[in-house]
Amino acid sequence: MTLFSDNVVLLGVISIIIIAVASYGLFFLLQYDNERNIRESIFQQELDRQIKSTNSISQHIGSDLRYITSVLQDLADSVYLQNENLSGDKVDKIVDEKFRQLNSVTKVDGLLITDKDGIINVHKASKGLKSFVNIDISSRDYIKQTKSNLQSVYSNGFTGIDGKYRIAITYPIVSLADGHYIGTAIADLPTIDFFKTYGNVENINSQFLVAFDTIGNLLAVGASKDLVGKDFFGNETQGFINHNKILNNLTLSLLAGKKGYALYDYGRGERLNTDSPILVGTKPVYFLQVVTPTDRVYTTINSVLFSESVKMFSLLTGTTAAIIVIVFLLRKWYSMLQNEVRKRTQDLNESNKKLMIANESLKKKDEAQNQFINIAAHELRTPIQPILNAIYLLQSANLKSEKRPQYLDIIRRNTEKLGRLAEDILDVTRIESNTLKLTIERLNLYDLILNTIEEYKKNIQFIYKELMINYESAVQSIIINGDKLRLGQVLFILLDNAGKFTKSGSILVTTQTKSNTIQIMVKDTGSGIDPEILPHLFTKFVTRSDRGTGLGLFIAKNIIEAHGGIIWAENSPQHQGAIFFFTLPLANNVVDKDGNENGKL
Amino acid sequence: MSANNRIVSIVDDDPGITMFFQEALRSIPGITIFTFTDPILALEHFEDNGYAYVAVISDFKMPGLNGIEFLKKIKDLNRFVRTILMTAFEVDNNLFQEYTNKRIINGYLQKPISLHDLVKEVNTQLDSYELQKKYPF
Repeated sequence: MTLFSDNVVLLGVISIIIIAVASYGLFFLLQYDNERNIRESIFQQELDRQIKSTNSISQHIGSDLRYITSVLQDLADSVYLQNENLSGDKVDKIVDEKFRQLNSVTKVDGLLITDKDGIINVHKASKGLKSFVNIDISSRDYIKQTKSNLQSVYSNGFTGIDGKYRIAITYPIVSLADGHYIGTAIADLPTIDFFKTYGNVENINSQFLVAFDTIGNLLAVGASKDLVGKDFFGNETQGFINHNKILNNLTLSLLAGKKGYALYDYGRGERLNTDSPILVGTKPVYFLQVVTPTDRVYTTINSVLFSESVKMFSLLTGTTAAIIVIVFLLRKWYSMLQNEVRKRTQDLNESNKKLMIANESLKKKDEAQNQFINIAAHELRTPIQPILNAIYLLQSANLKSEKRPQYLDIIRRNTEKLGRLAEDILDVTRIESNTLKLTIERLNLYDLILNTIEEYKKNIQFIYKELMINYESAVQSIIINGDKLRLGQVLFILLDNAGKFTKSGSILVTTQTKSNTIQIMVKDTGSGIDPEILPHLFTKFVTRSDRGTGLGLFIAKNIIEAHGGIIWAENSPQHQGAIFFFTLPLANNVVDKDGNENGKL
Repeated sequence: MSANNRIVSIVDDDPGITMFFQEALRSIPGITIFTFTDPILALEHFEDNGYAYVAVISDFKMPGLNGIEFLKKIKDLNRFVRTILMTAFEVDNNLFQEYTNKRIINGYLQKPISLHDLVKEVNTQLDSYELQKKYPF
């Protein structure tokens, strides 16, 4: 028996699974959406930040360049150079001073002064670097431009005699009096060292700077030092960036003086590139790119997102686990309930069954009782009938005198029968109400048998004159504990029974000891037991005798069993009469004073 | 039909009872009394002499055939015959009523039966028989 059908349980399980799947699906969807939003927002922040920082770096560089220019202007305007004497102690001194001043801002490899013909007059070089004097560098573009324009020049990159890549910043030395060209002051800046001041130009794995001159030469490049001095659009650089179109377009746009940014991946991971030209005044002189590997950006995002995800996921799994536990407990509770119901139903069924059995047995008992009363009534009324009739006739006026003794005999016989019947019915009633009391005493069964036989013989001496009764026993002392009167009654019943069916013939009684019991046999040479009756022989009102009450053997059986013995009967194998047996336990040698004095049936 | 040809039979497995009852019924004039201790023999006699019978008195508990079965066979042979059932048993009134309604048993006597009551009951049944003969429907 189940409280719910299997279908309902199945439906419940499916619903839970659907809810769980939907919850998790929704969770992951929301999580994905959320992460994307966060990523986008953080990326946007990073982009804004980087754009700002790119702008500020380029401004910083621009202002430093202007400062260098202003230092060079100071030098050019100094009185020692204005008098067109471009050498001497005073000149060296002021050059030294300006060289130190520049180096306090940025790395400057050399500070040079050329004359109007482009010949190096003074060359203050950094430590370890060679000074070149009286060398003609008039062919250099920045000298030419400075001379022709009389303006400061920020040169493109060039490789120095020592192989180092540099830019030169010039300032024309112009006479303050009449404005004629006197010479050029030049600061030589090693590009890598210069740009290193403003950011990483060596490590590709973190944010780095890339700087270009106006024709696209790489002045500094954090991606690879080897590319410094190379044309961005040359084979080597393009090979390095795998001809990445986005980067190329961005760079072209930058070299055209436009700010911008782009995301691209040329095979070494995604990069965010923010660009800004480096302006001096309003004129772009160099170009700057700030490059960030985006995974660096996302690492922080990811860790934040991850911890956020873990929190959410823990919450969800916690909730799920709680639901599972609740479902499990409910299931457990349900099955416990079901077991309990099953058990109770079973108990109920069992007790119902027991009740039915008890009822049945009560009913049977009742029926048996009714049957007993009915039969007893019949048996008691039957002998009254002839008594009543005989008396009526004895009293009638026209009684024939020869009938008188016959009627009186009828009355006597039936009265005796009634008496026996009354005794037997009383005994049966005692047996069935458990009130038959035995008076147990130590007795010699041998004597009891002899006495009972004698009594029976007296009883039948005028009826069965041809009946012989013998008793055979090996010993004369058979000690048992028993009720003398009741055992005598049993013996009498068996002898009477044998007598009734034998009439003329013999009855043999024997006793035989078998371990702790004595077996008594009563064997006759009579008509034997009707095979139809044999199975019910010891039940009530079973008789084939006209004299018997049909209760004797039932009473005998109960008396023997109350003594702890058994009784049974069989027909003699030679079809010569019936044999009755019963057993009784022999008494112990020690007299039991306390126990067994009184038995109760 | 001569008055002396009217037969009344007594059937009881106890010969003492049939003897007393026969003795008692002698006081009724105009009937011949037959007694049987075996219902089978009684039935055979009825089959041969049924036309002369006026009443059958039967015990209930008999070996071979019980009183009701026996009387049913009697009624099957001659429905005018008056039947009296007697028994020492406690009678189940419902069951008895059923057989009365089926016109199998006309009279009933509870043992022990005084001979006075017996004679009275037989006379009643004989009167009924006569009435029945006159007004069969």
